[in-house]
Amino acid sequence: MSDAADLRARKAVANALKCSLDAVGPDASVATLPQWDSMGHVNIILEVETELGRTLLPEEIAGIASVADVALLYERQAASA
Amino acid sequence: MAKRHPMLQLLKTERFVLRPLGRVEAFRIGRSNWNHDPEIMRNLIHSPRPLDPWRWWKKMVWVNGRSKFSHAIVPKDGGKPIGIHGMTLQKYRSATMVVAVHDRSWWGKKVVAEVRRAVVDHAFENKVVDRLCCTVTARNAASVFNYKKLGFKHVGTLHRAQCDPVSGELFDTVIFELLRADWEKQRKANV
Repeated sequence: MSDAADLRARKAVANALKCSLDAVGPDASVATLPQWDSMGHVNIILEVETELGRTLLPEEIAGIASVADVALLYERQAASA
Repeated sequence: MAKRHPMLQLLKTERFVLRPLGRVEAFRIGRSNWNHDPEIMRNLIHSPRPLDPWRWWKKMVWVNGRSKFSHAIVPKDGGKPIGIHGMTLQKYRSATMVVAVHDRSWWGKKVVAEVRRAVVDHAFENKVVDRLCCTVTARNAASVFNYKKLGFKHVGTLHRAQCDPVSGELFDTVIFELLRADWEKQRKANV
């Protein structure tokens, strides 16, 4: 995973969960971040969709459970640009 | 004497007692609390309007004591049920689940995650199932989150599979699955 995608994903998750960037490590996930609850998840989906400028596919929504998953979406977008 | 089915047991979580329901009580709690809640009817029951008592009895009472089980979600500090959790056993030791919290003062308080965790653990521990499978609207991110949190894996997508009963809009659904082997791995990892 590129550092840029990683950082972007951490920022998006921190923004959506209203917590500091330091609290969101690159390996953070639904299992490790206490702030990542169901409402937080909704906010993450909306944040990522805003950033990507498109609606996420069902498979993409179902695939998000960690910062790494979000970073992968950003990386794919960068690769296809 | 026939052994009582494990899913007919009373379950306890940190904040709730999950009390097994009979058909009449499931009918009464479900219909009186859900039937006139347009949001629940639209998103869970997929009906644009309330159901008459007969249709509710036939369609919505997930209780028969053999393959369909419902639990009332009751706060430990007393009071009325705030929702119902239902499980339907299927072939080959599989099951589907459904849950609705009708008391809106409990929304956003992680009720579903806590209740589902208890029911899932109980079903696997008591060898009721080897596989749980659930279908959820893809845009229902809160529900998707709950399945991911419990370790369910996304195993498929059904495109244009459901219709909003009010707007007529078609939407996609995603299928989640949790197998016994994965549940046991989770268990070991959490010990």
